Amino acid sequence: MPRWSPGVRGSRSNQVHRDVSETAPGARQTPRPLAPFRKLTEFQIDALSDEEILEYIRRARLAGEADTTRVALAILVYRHMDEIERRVRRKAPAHLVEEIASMAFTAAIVAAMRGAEIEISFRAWLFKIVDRRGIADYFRKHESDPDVRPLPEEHDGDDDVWGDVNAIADETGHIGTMELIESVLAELNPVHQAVVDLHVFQAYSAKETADLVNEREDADPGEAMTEPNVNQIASRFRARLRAALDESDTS
Amino acid sequence: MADVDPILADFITAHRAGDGPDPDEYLARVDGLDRRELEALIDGYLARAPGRPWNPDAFRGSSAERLVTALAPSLTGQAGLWPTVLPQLRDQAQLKRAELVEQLAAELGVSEQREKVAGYYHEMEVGSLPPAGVSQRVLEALGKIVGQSADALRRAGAALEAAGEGPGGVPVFARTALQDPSYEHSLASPASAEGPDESWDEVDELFRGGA
Repeated sequence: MPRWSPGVRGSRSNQVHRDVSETAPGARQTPRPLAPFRKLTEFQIDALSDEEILEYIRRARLAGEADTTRVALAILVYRHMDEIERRVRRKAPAHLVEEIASMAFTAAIVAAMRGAEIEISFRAWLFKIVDRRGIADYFRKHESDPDVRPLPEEHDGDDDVWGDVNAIADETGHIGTMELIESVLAELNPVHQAVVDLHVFQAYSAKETADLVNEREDADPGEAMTEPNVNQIASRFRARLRAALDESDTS
Repeated sequence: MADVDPILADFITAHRAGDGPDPDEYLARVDGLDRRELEALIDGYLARAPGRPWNPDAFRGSSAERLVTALAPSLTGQAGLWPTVLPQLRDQAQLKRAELVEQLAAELGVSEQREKVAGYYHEMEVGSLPPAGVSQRVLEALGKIVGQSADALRRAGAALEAAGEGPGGVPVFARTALQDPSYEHSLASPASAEGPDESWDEVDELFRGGA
C-alpha cells in the first residue's frame, strides 16, 4: 500500500514545499533517478535524502567508484549515528553501544544493497532493527554463550530482520512502537497520512499543514484541507494510536 | 492526552536546538498509557527528524568513521561481508593475522605452505577472493579457529548486490591502498593466476577450487 513519505523539516535543502508537493506517497521507496552515474561532491551528496544516498552508493559500486562509495557511506552513517547510539544507550551498557549501533547499520545497509524496501525512513528502519533484533539478539547470545557473538550477516536477510513488518512481536511478545505507528498510519488514506506526518510527527501547525497538503500535486481543489480538518484528523489518529497501544499492552 | 502534548513539544524543542535530549527523562514525567503514547510520538518524531549535516572534521576519529572503515571494504569488494566480519572475528579470538594463518595452515595440513595460505587469507579479509572458490574445508577450519560455523561464514560471504544487478555483480576494485605491503609477495601468485595450470597445487584448490 502506498504510504505518505515523511517530509523533512529542516532538511539539508530545507525544501519543505518540495517534500510535500513533489514527493508523492511512496516516493521514498523510489528515489528520483540519478542516472547516468556522475560523481558528486560531498556537499551534493549531503543534500540527498537517505534513500537517494543508498541509490547513489549502489550506482557507485556498480561503476567501480570505491572512493565515492566510501564518501557516500560516511555521510549516511554520520548523519544518523548519534541518534542510533542514543537509542541503543537507553537499553544497553555503554561499552556495547557502538557495537550494537554498528551492527544495526551493517544490517540495514547490506539489506538495502540487496534491494530490501525502505518503508518509512532509513532511520525508522534502523530503529526497528535496534529494537527488534539488535539488542535482544545480543543479550540472548551473550547470556547463552558469552563466547559467541552474532555475525552482522545473521541480521541482513529480509525474513530475518523484517519479516512481516506490521505488528510483529519481538521475542518477548512486545510489539514495537515503530510497528504500531506504521500499522495505524496504514489505516489512513495518503492525504490523511500526510496530515499526520506533518502535524503530529513534525510539529507543523494546523495552518502550515493544511497549506502544505493543499499544495500537493494530487490535491483535490474541490476539497481543500482546512485547519479544523487537520485537527480532526490528528485527533482521530491520536485516539486510534492510544487504543492500539492499549490493545498491545493487554494482548 | 493533554499531559502528553506539552512534554512532546518540550522534547522537540530541545532536539531541534541540538541538545540531544534523553527521551527517558521526558517519559518519566508521565506513566501508564500516557507514557506509551508519548514514547510512540517521540519515536515517530525521531524517525522523521533530519540527521546531522555532514561534518568531516567531527567524523574523523568517531564511531561513525570506525564503522565506515570496517564496512566500506565489504561494499567495494566481491566477498560480501568477509572484509567486515573476518577481522572482527579474528580480533574477538584475540589472534594476530599471522597467528591465525599459522593455525589455519596447520588445520588444513599445509603448514609448509603457510605463506601461500597467508596470501589467500589476506585476500579473504580485503574482499578480493571470490567466496565461491573457497572450499568448505577452509571455512570449517577457519570457523573452528574463530568460533563460528562454516555456514555462517559462507553466508557472510554472500554477494551484497540485489538479484539481477548484472552478471558477476560488483567489479573488483583496485585495492592497492588497502593491501598490507608485507603480503605483496605472497599475493602475487594466487591473485594473478588465471586458472589451473602446472603450478596449481593443494592450497590453490582449497581456496579457489570451490566445493
